[in-house]
Amino acid sequence: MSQRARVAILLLVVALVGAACGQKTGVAGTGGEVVAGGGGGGGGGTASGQHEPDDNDTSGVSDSEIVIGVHAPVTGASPLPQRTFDIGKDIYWQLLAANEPDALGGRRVRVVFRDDEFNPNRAVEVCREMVESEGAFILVGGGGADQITACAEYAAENGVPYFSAGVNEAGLEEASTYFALSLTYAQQAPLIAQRIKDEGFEKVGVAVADTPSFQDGHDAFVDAAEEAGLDIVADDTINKTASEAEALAEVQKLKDADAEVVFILTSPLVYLGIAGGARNQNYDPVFIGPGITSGLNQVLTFGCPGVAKGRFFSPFPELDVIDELDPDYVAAYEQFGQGEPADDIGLALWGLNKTIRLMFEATGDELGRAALMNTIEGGEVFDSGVFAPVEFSDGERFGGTAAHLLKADCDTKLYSTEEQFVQAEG
Amino acid sequence: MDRLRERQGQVITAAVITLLVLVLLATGEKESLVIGVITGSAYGFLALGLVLIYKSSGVFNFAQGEFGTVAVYTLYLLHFDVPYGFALLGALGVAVLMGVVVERLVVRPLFDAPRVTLLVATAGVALLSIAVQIWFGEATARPVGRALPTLDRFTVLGVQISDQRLLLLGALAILAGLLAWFFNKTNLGLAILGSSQEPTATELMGISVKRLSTIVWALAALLGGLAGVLAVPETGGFAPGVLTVAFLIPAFTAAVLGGMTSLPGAFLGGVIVGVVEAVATSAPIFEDIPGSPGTLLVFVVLLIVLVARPQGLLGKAG
Amino acid sequence: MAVETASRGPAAETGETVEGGEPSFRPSPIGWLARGIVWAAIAWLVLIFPLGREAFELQRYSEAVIFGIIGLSLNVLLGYVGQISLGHQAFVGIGAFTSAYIVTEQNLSFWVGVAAAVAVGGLQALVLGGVSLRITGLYFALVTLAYGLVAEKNIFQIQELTGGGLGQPAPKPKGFESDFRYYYLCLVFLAIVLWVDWRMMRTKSGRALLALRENPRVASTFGVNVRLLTLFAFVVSGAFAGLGGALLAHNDTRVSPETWSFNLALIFVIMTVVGGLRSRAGVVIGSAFFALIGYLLDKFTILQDGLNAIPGAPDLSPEIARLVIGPVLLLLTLTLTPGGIGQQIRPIVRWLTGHRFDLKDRGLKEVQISDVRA
Repeated sequence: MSQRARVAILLLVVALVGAACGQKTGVAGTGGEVVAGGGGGGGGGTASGQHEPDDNDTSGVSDSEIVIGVHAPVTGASPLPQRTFDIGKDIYWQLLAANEPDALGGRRVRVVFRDDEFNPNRAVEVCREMVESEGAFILVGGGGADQITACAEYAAENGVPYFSAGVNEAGLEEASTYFALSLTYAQQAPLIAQRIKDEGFEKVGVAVADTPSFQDGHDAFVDAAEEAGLDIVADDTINKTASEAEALAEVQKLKDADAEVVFILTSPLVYLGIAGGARNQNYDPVFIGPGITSGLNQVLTFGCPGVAKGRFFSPFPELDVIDELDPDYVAAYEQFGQGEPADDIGLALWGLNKTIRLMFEATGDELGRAALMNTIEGGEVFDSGVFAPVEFSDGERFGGTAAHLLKADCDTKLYSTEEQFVQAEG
Repeated sequence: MDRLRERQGQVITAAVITLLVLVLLATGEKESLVIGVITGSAYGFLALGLVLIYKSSGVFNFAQGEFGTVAVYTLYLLHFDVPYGFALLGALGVAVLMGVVVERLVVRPLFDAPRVTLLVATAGVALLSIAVQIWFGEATARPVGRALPTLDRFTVLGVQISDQRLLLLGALAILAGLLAWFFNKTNLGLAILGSSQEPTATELMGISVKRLSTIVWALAALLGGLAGVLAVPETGGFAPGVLTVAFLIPAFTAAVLGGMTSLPGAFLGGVIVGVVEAVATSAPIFEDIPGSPGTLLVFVVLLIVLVARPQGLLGKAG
Repeated sequence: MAVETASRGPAAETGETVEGGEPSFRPSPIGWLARGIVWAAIAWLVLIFPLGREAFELQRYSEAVIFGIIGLSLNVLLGYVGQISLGHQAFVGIGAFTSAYIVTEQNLSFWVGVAAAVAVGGLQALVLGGVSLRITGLYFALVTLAYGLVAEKNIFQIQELTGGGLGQPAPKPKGFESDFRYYYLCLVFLAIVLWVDWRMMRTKSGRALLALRENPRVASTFGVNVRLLTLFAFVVSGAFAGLGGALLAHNDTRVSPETWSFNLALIFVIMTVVGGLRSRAGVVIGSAFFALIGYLLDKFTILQDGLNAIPGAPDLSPEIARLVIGPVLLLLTLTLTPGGIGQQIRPIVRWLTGHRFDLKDRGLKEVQISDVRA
């Protein structure tokens, strides 16, 4: 290349970089405005409990629409069925739009769904995308404690209200925009210990996935079990994505320890590995735990007969009682379910959405992020009749009051609701 | 001279295995021994196909696991409509078809390319297969049925062994022996081996190297398919790419332990890898290894073999 | 968009060998003008176009730039040394966790984090390079594959360092909190990597490295220590990978173990091979393309519609699209144009750097995944 050419190119590049830098600050500024709640929301939202009303960010809410962003894993190590999620995510809102077109000030709710690939890093990415690109007003986590924690942290930093069924408490206590719409693992622990005792079992094994998010749930259960006078004969962590050999080794440990009941807090796939391995070894303990995903019928379709003695406390009831709790659900699914039969993933989303709707309505016309969060924290009780009632006092992140107890039935391959609305202590 | 070297391999193998067994029994890990043998037989089965391809064409076939996954998937789909036996045959048929297609579309155009290129290409095939499974069937796990339902006929050292496991183990032992005989004693077997070492000579004998290549890939795919349909039901079910994600690296380690060219070696290697993994997972001394200790120990075994005895336990030196 | 980044400045020298024998050719003034316009267009696309986009899109563009760095890192191993690494996600991932740990757990600055990531990456590669002196070719590929799994299942599970399943937060550096600024920071790092790579291959050692790949015996006549050279190349590759990892961590603002899977390792290899080994421009374009596939499908719905038009096929989500399109492009590249994108764009690159436009000039001899060391 000739000298002249080099100089010419160099000059050109310098000129362009100069132009770019000149523009950068300006455009970046507008970028900040485009970004929902990017700067301002963060400042306003992080003050504990108090969500500044002057900064009532209405991104994602227009006169005609409210956008909700939902994330859950449909690929990755422990995936849920994508199609069911796609269908179930907005059945409730479709019904609402059809039956009560004037609800929510005549606004329609649009639900955006993204796959978080069972990966916290990815969860943050998709949450951001849903807020900034799709203009989501609030975010909802569909399942997976680590992903929910990661995304809730992002949401708190950016002042976006975030909702999920109760999972861990560690890491979420400080997330100032997070709301657990059912009992957390730790809150369920005494219920589980009590249930084990009531059934007359003594020797309890513990198998918990090896992730910091499950630590508080694990500790709470061990404490509760000791308080209830149960004998913890094995207490193990197991790899979050355990292999067959790891599942079998865990089974041997539990079997050697003679555990009659196993407290299980893992992804559904690991649970299936352990339960299946146990059955192959003629070892047949009762598996019990706080469930969201492990309490889904999908687990029975896959895992029967190994999971035949599974019981899970769950935010949502099962299909056997939904007609008495909320007759709209099955009918709505028939109408909007694209020909698929009503299932419990749809039901879980239905319950979440129904609670959120009550919260929207309580907030009233001034629907914005700060107003919504202040309303929720105002101490009102939101009772959807599907999820147990939730109540958040000021600064309280975990508002659940009760849980349903589900029991596996391998004849029908469906969970049944053994007991509804089991009240948490205190 | 060769004989002597072979003997040396056998002595080392016998010594390693005896030592392993004694240590396990002494430390009270007798259950790991049994678990290791039954999980390891699945690795050995997959390794059999790897060895077959390597022996005949010098290729590391990273798509070997996917022959199995695709077979399992087919079994799952067909079993809705037809009896198990037919579904099984259909599954193996689809696996063989996949083997032939891969040979025609990927291996043959790269016939003269460096072997590393082929390795990358087969890895690409594996990824494509996994992606297509997710695309058409979602990433969710699915249950798949056993050929033999009885679970509790045998109990060895406190571990219950299902009929399906025994079937897997038996089929593996028989096939490893049969294939070893085929390659050492039959004309076709020798021709296949010759085709990789002396392609021109093979052509001169009137045997088409390309046709042999197709046969080998079809056979390897059949083995991969068998590994899948026999091993996966025992784990309860499958997710996209199950044999690649969970089995391929241990299977390669098994094959390397066997020297990459020894079929009985692949079988033995699989069992050893299985036992190492099982011990690593349950023995208290490995408890402090973060995450999954089995993965780490299998890696260590692989490294040691490649550095200290690259020809494998049963392989011939040089 | 960042796709064209590599065509700037030093990258233009891509794949150039000694120009001996070519009659001196001077473009006409109009020729210069035409070249200038194309250069300006590329510069506009890389430097100015992103300013008009939204912040979260910039995050994607930054990722494309960072993938360029990772591609160049792998190119050193695959292209220059001739060793294939199927565990490159581990190198990148360790860089990511190192930087996240230093910034989040040690409360040190981003720059310390990046420096540590580069150092750890280089050190790690040095060890693996030592292994590669004994284990080569297919077996080396196998070892790296297994190592990648060890990283994912063991190393990244050390909760004190990585935060375990939840992962580790990795905030953006002071002064670069905006995605716009961070994008330009990534571009600067890419430019540095390109420059280092270019300088390295210009030296006697660099040329010896290429000769080594072709024929180890010839290389010894260069009077260089072959082992030392190989180790040096490994360190450079590892350092680039560590840098890429650190940048990726802070771009995503969180690192978690699940990210660094077998799939990602293959995507890295695919993007480098499809980009075209030993072609800096090609590798960067290929890498950026694979980083952006999902984004492009979202933006240009016509592409998405095209894929969804395949009869009987369910909708293809952008996440899966990368895994489907990648291997297909890989197989097409390997069987049809082993030189990848670099080979295809070589006439354009040559023309842009003031040479005659010659469609036949594809430098075919240059491109093939070599296995002389297998």
